[in-house]
Amino acid sequence: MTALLEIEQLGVDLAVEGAQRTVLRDVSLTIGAGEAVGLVGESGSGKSMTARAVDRLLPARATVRGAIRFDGRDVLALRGAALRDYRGEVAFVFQDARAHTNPVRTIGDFMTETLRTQRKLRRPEARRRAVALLAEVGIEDGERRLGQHPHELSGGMLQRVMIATALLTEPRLLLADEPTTALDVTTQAEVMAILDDLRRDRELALLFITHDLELAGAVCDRTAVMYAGQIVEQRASHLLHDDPLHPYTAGLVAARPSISSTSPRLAAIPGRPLSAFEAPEGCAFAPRCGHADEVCVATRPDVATIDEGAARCHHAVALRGRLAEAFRV
Amino acid sequence: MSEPLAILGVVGLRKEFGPLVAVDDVDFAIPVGGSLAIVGESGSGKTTVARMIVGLERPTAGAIIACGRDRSTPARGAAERRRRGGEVQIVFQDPYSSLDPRQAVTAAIDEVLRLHAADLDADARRARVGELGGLVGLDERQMRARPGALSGGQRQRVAIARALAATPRVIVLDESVAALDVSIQAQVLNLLADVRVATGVSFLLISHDLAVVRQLTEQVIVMQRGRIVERGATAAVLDDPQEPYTQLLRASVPTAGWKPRRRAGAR
Repeated sequence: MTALLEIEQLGVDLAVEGAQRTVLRDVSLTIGAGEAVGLVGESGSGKSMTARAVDRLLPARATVRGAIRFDGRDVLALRGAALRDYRGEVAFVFQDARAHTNPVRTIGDFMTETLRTQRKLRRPEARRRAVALLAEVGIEDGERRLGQHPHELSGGMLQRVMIATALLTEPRLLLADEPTTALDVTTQAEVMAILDDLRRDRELALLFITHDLELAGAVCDRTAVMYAGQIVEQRASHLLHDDPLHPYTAGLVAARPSISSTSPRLAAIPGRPLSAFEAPEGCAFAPRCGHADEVCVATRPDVATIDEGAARCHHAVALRGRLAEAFRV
Repeated sequence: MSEPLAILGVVGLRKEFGPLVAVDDVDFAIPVGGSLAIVGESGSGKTTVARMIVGLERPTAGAIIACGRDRSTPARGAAERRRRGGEVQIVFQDPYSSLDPRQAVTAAIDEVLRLHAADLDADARRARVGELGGLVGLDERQMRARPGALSGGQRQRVAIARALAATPRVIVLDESVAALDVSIQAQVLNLLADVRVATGVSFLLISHDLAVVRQLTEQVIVMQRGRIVERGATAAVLDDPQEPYTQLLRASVPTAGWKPRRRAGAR
């Protein structure tokens, strides 16, 4: 598989309360054409920042290190029209659809704006394409929906409109940032199924951001787990659950209550998730890790490649196969 | 009067908002020390039930009986309101908006003690605030802090400590762990289990998260569009749901190996 998106040693500092603070550190990730990759982490882990960096949506005064290449192009160097074209190829679906629509404009205006202003399509043709895509996301009465306003649509319906809109420019990569987190669970299943179908039909690459390991696993071939602004593990999604390589991944799996069995207590990870700028000198996860020793406290681990997976842990090889067990109570 | 069998019960509970029936003929009873979940999606009426129980909404019809006393009509006077507060407390979903940003944690808990433990003097209250802080796992620095300096998980611990300060018999948990990160959610779920063992308090959990429901409750009712569609022991309902809607809910939860499917005839 050829690489469509290559993120290399990406580092980002943001201005927070007057000081430049690191939010991403040495993030490297590759997505092949048509490949679906999950990016999983807790709040502040840097998963959304990674996607925003890829789509060049970082706030002003952000300092960016490293490289992002899309189809061989240097993304960080794009300006003006080239950047606009790039954003047509790399589309974004946000968590809160309602916050990303204009309440006083119709769905039709919203959906066709890019096609009319940038692709110079005439209104009837733009609307025809919009209706066709609405049908693909399971909205049959598209013509009527185009005349409605966001408040007239349910959350699940509006998120489907957002997905259809993102696909109107025929992107090759979709960045989806928690697109179903605000939805009811039955609606989530529906939207995920639509996203999965569309992706396969259109050979669309997907970076799917979520806090839910299982949800990522359902639609993604590969999952990257982030902690404190770094990717700590990358692995085939179906192996993450039973054969994790990083203690944090194992901890996340164990901390989640089970729907199919009852246990009196959960194996909680002590402490709280840290942001990159709060992380200590050595391994960022060391303060919360039951396997940490002096080496972990003293030096920041490099990425170790194990069985087509990768983990940022000094003891990944030694702990192999014991992690899932160690957290089980 | 002997101890009633149910610490909290509702009978024929109904709430209309104009032409909309939000809650329709809901019955349930939580035994002393028991734990019951109301499961449903947006618009199911589950939160409206919780709000009626703590007196934030007035039922259109039906009875709410807590600790053997009816509370389906608004409290008359401060003493009655305080008594009700001492019976049932609520912990809301959003720990960022449910605490006063200008009030330090110790003051927030002390305020509840002044109301609900009026016999305690300042020293005894101070000791009790420390005790409650210890019970929910907040250290001294966190206890002196204002909510703005605390993380979401820590704030939710404050909200739980504050609810416990009133020594309630029932705590209504309205999506109380939904906004928390996975690793923090596990800590708070463990804390709630510990609190129940330590104090004998009963829980009414309002949640859309079936795994959290399984972790925290013995009984469950499933609501859809204001009505109860299924009820039973939590493990039994989740392992072998009988109603099509419960089956759909159960099948929509992503677990290892889960694949999302399009529903036929979905909206």
